[in-house]
Amino acid sequence: MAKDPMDLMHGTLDVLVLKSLARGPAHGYAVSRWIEDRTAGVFSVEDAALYKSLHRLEATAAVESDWGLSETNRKAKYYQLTRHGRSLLRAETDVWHRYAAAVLSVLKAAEA
Amino acid sequence: MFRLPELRRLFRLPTPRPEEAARHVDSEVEFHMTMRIEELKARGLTDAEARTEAARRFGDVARARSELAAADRATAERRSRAAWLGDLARDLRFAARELGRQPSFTFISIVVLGLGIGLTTTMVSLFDRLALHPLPYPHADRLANVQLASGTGDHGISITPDRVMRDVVAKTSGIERAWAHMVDKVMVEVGDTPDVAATRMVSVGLLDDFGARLLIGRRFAPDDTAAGPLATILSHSAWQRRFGGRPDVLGRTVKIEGRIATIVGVLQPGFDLTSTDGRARAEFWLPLRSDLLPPGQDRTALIVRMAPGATAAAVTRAIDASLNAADPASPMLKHFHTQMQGAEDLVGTGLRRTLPCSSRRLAWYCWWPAPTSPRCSSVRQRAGPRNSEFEPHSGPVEAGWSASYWRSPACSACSAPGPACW
Repeated sequence: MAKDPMDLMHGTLDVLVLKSLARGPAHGYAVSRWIEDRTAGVFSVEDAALYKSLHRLEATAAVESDWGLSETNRKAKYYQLTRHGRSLLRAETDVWHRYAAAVLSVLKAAEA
Repeated sequence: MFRLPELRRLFRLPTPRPEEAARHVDSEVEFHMTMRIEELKARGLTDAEARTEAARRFGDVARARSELAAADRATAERRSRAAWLGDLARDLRFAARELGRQPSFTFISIVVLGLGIGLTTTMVSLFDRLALHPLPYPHADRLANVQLASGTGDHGISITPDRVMRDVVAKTSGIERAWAHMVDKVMVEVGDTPDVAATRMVSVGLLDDFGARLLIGRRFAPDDTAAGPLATILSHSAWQRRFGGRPDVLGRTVKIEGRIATIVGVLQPGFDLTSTDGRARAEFWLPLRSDLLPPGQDRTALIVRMAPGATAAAVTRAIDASLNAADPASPMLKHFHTQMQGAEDLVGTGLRRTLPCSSRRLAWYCWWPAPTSPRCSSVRQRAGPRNSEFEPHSGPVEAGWSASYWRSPACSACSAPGPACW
């Protein structure tokens, strides 16, 4: 059970996608690879869910998209953070930090 | 002054293309799969293995495709609507600024537009009344007013039918339905307040057949014509004006010419007979009952609906024949013949009242035939066995006759004392 990748909590994926795009424009496959590499396989992200997250963020104007050429010279859809997306990422990151700190403090108190 | 490209944008409707959204999703997913398969093959998987694994990692590809395309379509539609509204607001602001800069031009534009719209509306409603919807009743083209007439045109004299004639007309072939109606001004008491009001007495089926809607209550029923409690239906304006539009008006009583009448219904706004301007004149509607008519008088106006295909000329001849058969000795029928006025005539009477037709020079405008000769015509009246009898006549009132009426106001005899004019 512990070895199985955790299912992503609802809403968490959006933050990860925003974070991956904070470095600059990227296509969906690059976002997918970036999240896999960072989380070292702890999270299992279904690609379909990832693309739904990207399109959802685009609908709320947190990211915008345009067609471009990939590293392998193929036509790819590139996503980019908007100003709204950046502030959303900051706000969500704060929430996660507070959440994680709260959970950690509870867990540590329980150990002591 | 006007920048056409800016105006043109008003007419460019937001049209997100659905097939485009689906195509974009397809190429995005295809790119992803290609990259994933290449990655997996680089790690040593065979082509088939790589394809299976890529599909497994993606999840339900077909479902994801349709869901993504649907979401993109919704987004595109929302965006272009927002953009269109934004453009519209900008164009309106621009137009307001430009107009504000040239007040005189703006003023003239508004006046010209206002006059143009007003004139067009008037012409269209006139045309509609005259040509398209002469009367707002079912089968209006087959409705006609039936009366007895002597002479024609401006010198004609007409008399409304009595009960015998109404019965004859109703049974004549070529007549589908016949309704009697009579308008009167009477004393009405609502509470303790007496007032003069217009009433209209009608055959029981008339309101139904003329498509009158009732706001509340019921129409007249056959029982209402029997002697006994009197029922009345209010016009909408009487309901508003005399009863404040109260919904509990049903069952209340009013006094009409001293008789107690129970309110059983309220008519739709504007309904009246031969009212072409949408204003109802009759305030209290009553069922036609012999005890409501003045003593010794049972003449009322008569409206008929001809059978489909029947012509006014043929029906007129048939009625005349029936009348003569019913009462061959009638002195009236020597001088008077049946006359039918179709919907155009009924509308004409309503319209003439609303147009400035006082001058006969405007006759062409009012569809009113100009008088052909200055000849006077008159009729004299006396009490007959059943009803008043009339007869064409000239000269002063003679013994046995109660009055003489002169028709033409232009006739000098009118100014002479004695005969009444109309």
